[in-house]
Amino acid sequence: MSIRDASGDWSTVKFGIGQPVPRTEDPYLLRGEGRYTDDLNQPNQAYAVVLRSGHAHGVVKSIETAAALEMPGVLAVYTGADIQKAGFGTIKCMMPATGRDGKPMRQPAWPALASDKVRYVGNAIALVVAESVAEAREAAEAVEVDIEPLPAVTDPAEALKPSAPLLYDDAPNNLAVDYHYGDTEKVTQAFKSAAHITTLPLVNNRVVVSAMEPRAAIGEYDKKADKWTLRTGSQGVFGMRNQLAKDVLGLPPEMFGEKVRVLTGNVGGSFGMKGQIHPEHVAILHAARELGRPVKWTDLRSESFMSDTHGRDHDYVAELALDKNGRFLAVRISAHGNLGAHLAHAAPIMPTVNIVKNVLGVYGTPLLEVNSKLVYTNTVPVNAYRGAGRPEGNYIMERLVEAAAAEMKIDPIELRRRNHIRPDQMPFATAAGTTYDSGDFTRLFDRALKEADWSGFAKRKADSEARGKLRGRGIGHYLETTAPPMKEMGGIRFEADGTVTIITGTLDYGQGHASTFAQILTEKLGVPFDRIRLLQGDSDELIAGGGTGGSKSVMASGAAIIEASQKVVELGKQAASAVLEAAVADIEFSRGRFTIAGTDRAIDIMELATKLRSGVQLPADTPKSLDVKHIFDNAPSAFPNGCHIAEVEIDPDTGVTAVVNYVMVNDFGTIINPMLVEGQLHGGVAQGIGQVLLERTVYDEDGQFLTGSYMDYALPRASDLPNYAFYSHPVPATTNPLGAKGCGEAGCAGSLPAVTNAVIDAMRARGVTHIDMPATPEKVWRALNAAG
Amino acid sequence: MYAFNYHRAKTVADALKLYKKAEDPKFLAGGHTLIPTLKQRLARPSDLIDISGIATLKGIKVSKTAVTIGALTPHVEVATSSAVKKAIPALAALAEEIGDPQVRHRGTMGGSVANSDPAADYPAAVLGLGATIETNARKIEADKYFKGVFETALKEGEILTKISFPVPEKAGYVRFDQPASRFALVGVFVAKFKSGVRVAVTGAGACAFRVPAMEKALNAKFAPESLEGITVPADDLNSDIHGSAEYRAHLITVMAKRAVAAAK
Repeated sequence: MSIRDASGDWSTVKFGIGQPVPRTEDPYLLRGEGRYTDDLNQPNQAYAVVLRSGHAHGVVKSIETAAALEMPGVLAVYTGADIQKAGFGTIKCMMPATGRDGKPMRQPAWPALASDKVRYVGNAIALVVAESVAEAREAAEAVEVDIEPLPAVTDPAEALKPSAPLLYDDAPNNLAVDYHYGDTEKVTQAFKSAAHITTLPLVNNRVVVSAMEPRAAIGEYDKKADKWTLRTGSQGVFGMRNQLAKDVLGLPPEMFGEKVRVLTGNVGGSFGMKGQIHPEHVAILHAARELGRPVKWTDLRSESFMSDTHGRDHDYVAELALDKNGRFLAVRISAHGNLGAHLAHAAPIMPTVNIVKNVLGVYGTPLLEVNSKLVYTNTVPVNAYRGAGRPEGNYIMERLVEAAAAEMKIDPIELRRRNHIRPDQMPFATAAGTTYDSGDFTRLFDRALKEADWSGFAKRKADSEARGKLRGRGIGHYLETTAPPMKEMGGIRFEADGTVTIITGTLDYGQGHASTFAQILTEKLGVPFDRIRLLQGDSDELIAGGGTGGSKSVMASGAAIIEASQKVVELGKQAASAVLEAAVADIEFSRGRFTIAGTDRAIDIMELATKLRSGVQLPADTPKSLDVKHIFDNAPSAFPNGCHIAEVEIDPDTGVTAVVNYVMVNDFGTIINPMLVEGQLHGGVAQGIGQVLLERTVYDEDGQFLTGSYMDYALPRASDLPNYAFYSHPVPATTNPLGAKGCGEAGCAGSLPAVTNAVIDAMRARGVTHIDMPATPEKVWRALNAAG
Repeated sequence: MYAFNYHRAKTVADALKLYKKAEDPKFLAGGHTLIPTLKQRLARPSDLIDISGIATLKGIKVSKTAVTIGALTPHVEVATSSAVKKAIPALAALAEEIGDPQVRHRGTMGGSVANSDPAADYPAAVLGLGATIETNARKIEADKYFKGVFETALKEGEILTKISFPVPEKAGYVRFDQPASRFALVGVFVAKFKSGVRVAVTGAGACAFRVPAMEKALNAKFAPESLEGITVPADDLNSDIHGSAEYRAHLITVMAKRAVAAAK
């Protein structure tokens, strides 16, 4: 889909759209020269340590800070009462859901530091600030907190029972919202008329996010300017600033920029988790103002298990109604979403709207009903995690399809083909209220079957059996609905040093935005690739920014850059007309040069920018620069899709599962940088395999967190992962100027069902038809024994 | 980490002298258990006596009948020693599988055996090969050494100096990894001597232990199928989120068979 012209200056196009350009940040990151938050230090900064609850649920009777305050180097100890007294607001959810009764969800206050009750192990209670981290840590142990323990509840279904411990007086039955989508009457009718109904109870297991870089922050307050500065990892500084300014500081919108600045440097992974204001941010800003000094906080890895939000944690009863030919009539889901103890910024969308928008996938099921209860429990708050409902939805559907095929004795391949939405049905209005613009599902599916050598499986299975192993294969045929459109900035600035800065409100936390966006700019403006810089992490530079999340950055920022480029060209034509002394209408732009049509008189865009800056005498109405600040707000959700096929081998003696083959064919529309896209998929699939086979988050009945370190929480390692075969079957999106579809979360969406279905397939001959993630060795071994 | 006094001992005698003088001392070898414990503020020794520089506690000596390894020898040296590989390949292979390269370059055999972590690998080899543990004061037979969870026959202030492993006809070690830590959920060391077979299990109990029923069966015939149907009762085995006692009991038999098959 490259839009290259034929006149070949390859210095730009070789870095253009479609090229596998390495990440521009890699050399300095690999040299250890990255600027992650903990690498930063401000003059005269103090250090903060957070004291956390060891109880899952309890009443805070008293907090004694006197002894801690006496200790060497200690500057202050702050509690929830101090923060409340100082007038800070609480942390608010940014994407609340609405109940079936039309009422807003119950959102009890989330203060930075707990003062009345603690509600989970890890709940922040006090902030200790000292001249050094060691002194602060020492003093934190001297803070005496008297907590009267209360019974705890960690499972959402249990938490809904009348006898369950209650987390909040203003959330009866611990229920945050009872969500409903769909036409119950029609769906009920469809199930009544169905020839077959497949019903599956499913669990989407809670995961610990495990970003490579633990969270950190430096809070500052400039008394003279009455301005707050927060340096921290994020998924977009504009949204973070607004959340902080609005909810926590209570400022009116026109003062956000004047009073608050959020800065983000390099970010070592987030997956949704760093996308919100966290309690520590508020507490250190309070400390910074009180002490008149910058205050720095860096999480410990072990602390991050309970201070970072967790991911997933749903359970469902999922049903699929089919007619006698195996045509899907309706999908019905009733779900519990475990919110944890507080309502995190994106928590409501995962078990509600994002299940709705993602469960139907590539199939033309005409009816859908989703009923979800979102529940508070005495666990770490749950937030978005790579996919945020998208992989969950696809997991449900692909499990249902596979189970229905087995129950109805229809070949699962044939069953999928019968229900695919066809290209000639595009644009296709789904039962979820979305409209797919494009997709070529059957051909993509056939390609995946071919690449995976689906028909040659019997021989591989026999080989495995000869070695005493059970072999299975599984399909994850997914389609994701990327995040809805938001206002996104596309800024282009020609700098005095001869570089060009792209300014976006999306934010890279490992994706490789700098190369990707530069490829788009170099293609559109002919600016040399190596002169392009990316600026994302300074809210003072932004006029808009939806941030990164929901696999939308390339659509939103890419389109914003394209439109901004068009504005640059318009400015450039005016400026070139002045410099070249010709009419604007006679100026043509191509490959970085403004030319008087039909002549060889031309000026390069970089030279033109320099000239404008040099102060040369030009007519008064000539643009002063080629700089553009543009806002783009029309990149609708795209529908990346694909088919992942996994093969596993199970050792029946131990229950150990190994993923031995992994083939994926994806449709991401126009691909800007195939190498980075493939990298995104490698990471996403690794996370998916981790969730399917290894990652298990365990609370005991008292709400104690049993998997609070990597000694007990199993992440996938390189040796657990197969080689991936990656193929593309692109059908450009029609809804954004690039034709891109977004790829960041697809790896999870494809791998969760593909690998789980493969595990079940391997055991099917032994009578096993169901297993929940994670399929740990003992669980698999027990399933085989129970069935055998 | 809390503050402590640091001492670097040059000799064993020096280390013992420092130990006596201190209020609540700990010896520091490779530090692979002690340092994380300190970092998590779970221990507060007054003094750390670093014995890692004592040259006499390092090195490997191999004779026709025994492999003798100094307590401070890091795992990597055991793993890569051609003499050990020739004499007891299972011991070198076991060392090769401990932790990761950083652990293997820093962690020591003496540290591991003195600590007797229920999930450590070396105790299985020590017990399985019927090694002799030498200290500054005495020699201890492997069968009398492991006492319980992190509990051994070592007395307060006693320094493990070397371990002597008899060379078997053949031996094998197979470990089932705990999926998160990759320590042994169950590890089984099997060694065949002229005098008989020894089977030692780590990971599954409070400390390494032998399985007489399996030894008897393997004495009759040293083959995996000899172990068919022989299980260790689950009653006294460890049980946690990674493996119930019942699962561990099952794995002991599976790993023992594989260790026999792998023995060389």
